[in-house]
Parts: sequence; structure tokens; C-alpha cells
Amino acid sequence: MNDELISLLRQHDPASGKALTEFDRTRILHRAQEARRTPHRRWLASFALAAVVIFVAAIAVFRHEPPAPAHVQTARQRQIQYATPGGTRIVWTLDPNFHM
Amino acid sequence: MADVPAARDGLAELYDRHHRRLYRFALRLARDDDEAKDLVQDAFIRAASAPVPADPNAAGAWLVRVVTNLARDRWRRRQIRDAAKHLLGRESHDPQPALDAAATVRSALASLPPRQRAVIVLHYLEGEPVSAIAETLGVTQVTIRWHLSAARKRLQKVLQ
Repeated sequence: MNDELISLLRQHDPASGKALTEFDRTRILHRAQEARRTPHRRWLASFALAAVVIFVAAIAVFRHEPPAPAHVQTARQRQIQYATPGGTRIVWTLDPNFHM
Repeated sequence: MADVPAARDGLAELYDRHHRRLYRFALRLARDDDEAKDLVQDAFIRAASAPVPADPNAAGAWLVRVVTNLARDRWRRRQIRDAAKHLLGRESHDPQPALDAAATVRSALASLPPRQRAVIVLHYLEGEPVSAIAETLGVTQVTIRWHLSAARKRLQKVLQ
């Protein structure tokens, strides 16, 4: 069976009598030579794309910088409250930053 | 010998030396002539930028390995595409039925995974010994014998 199989394969070899035409031969060689010339261009394009992406990302980051925190009052405000005999309530709020 | 990227003139020399054999090898691996031409072209495009062995015989083996790997990549993509078509219920039938013995042999070869097909082609059609095929494909001789045995069984089953 092995011999039969091998003989069948050889008899109907898909490559039997075939060769590249002159047109295809030249075209394939030119493509390969062209590929040799262009890798620099491809690298350049990749670097340019990476630079643009980094630039856009940097802009996006800086534009979304978190807002400055609101002023936090650290000193505790003090109040003086008292009521008049007539019932009026008086509230004094002391400015903690006031200095004489 | 040192591996060097094929220089421009070296590339033409490499091409002149190996394109005939590589095209015949690709025809035996591919589904049709167009695919074989694509495989040859892609192999030489790779040779244009990759380190190719300086020794002519080693360079030939390197190109055969590249074509085998490219054929395997294409075969895998085709398998995925066919599986997707099957899942979507859009399975297409082969428009070229096996009308004659040559078509039957071709479809039998096509039923083999690319590496088994490469091993069968190199051994039975190109007359390469097992040791040389093992060196070319970068695997052990035991693996090559296993591929030969599996491929023969499969071909016999398909051709019966």
C-alpha cells in the first residue's frame, strides 16, 4: 500500500511541470526588494503614531488635572451668644484671623 | 557561518538560487497556484529583513521552514474561519469537486495538517532523508517518523 501511495503521489504531484512565469518571478523579487527598502518607513510611521498618541494622552491628563481643594477652614470659629432681657438674641462670630 | 540579513544583491542571488524549488514546494503545500505564489513572496519578504544563513544549503532549508510555517499560519486561520462559518450555519461547499485522480490526490494532501504535508512532500516527492527533514524543520527524527506514519495513514484513509 505504501508503494501504491507513493506512486500515486508522484504521478499526481501538484507541482509537476510547473514553474513561475517570468512576470510572477520578477514581481515577487521586486516585492521582496521593496520590502527591504521600506522597513525604515514603517518604523518611522510607528514612531510618529506613538508620538501622537503620547502627546494626546499628555494633553488629556493635564486637562483633567484635579481642581485645587477648596479652602478648608482650619481654625475653629468662635461665637459669643447672649440674649437681652427683652428676648433679642445676639450672636457674635469672631474672626479667627483677626489680629490687633 | 554567520546569519546575515540578505543584502539587496544577496537577496536577488538568494531568490535566483531558490525560487524554483521553493515554488514547487509551495505548490505542494498550498491549495492553489495563487496561494503558492503568496507563500513564496512572503518567504522572500521575510528573507529581506531577517537573518538568513549565509550557507546556500542552510538558506534553502531556512526558506523551506519559513514557507512551512507560513502555510501552517494560513491553515490555522482557515480552520478558524471555517469553524466560524460552521457555527453561523454558512458552511460553503468546495466548488471544485474531486473529478479526477489529480484532484483527489490534491484534496487528500489538503486534508493533512501543514507540517505533515511538508514532511510527506519533502520525503516522498523531493526525496529528502528523514535526518535532513528533521534538520530543516527543526524537530527530531522521531517526530518526523511519527508525522510520516500519521500522514500515510490519513492519506490511505482519504484515498481509499
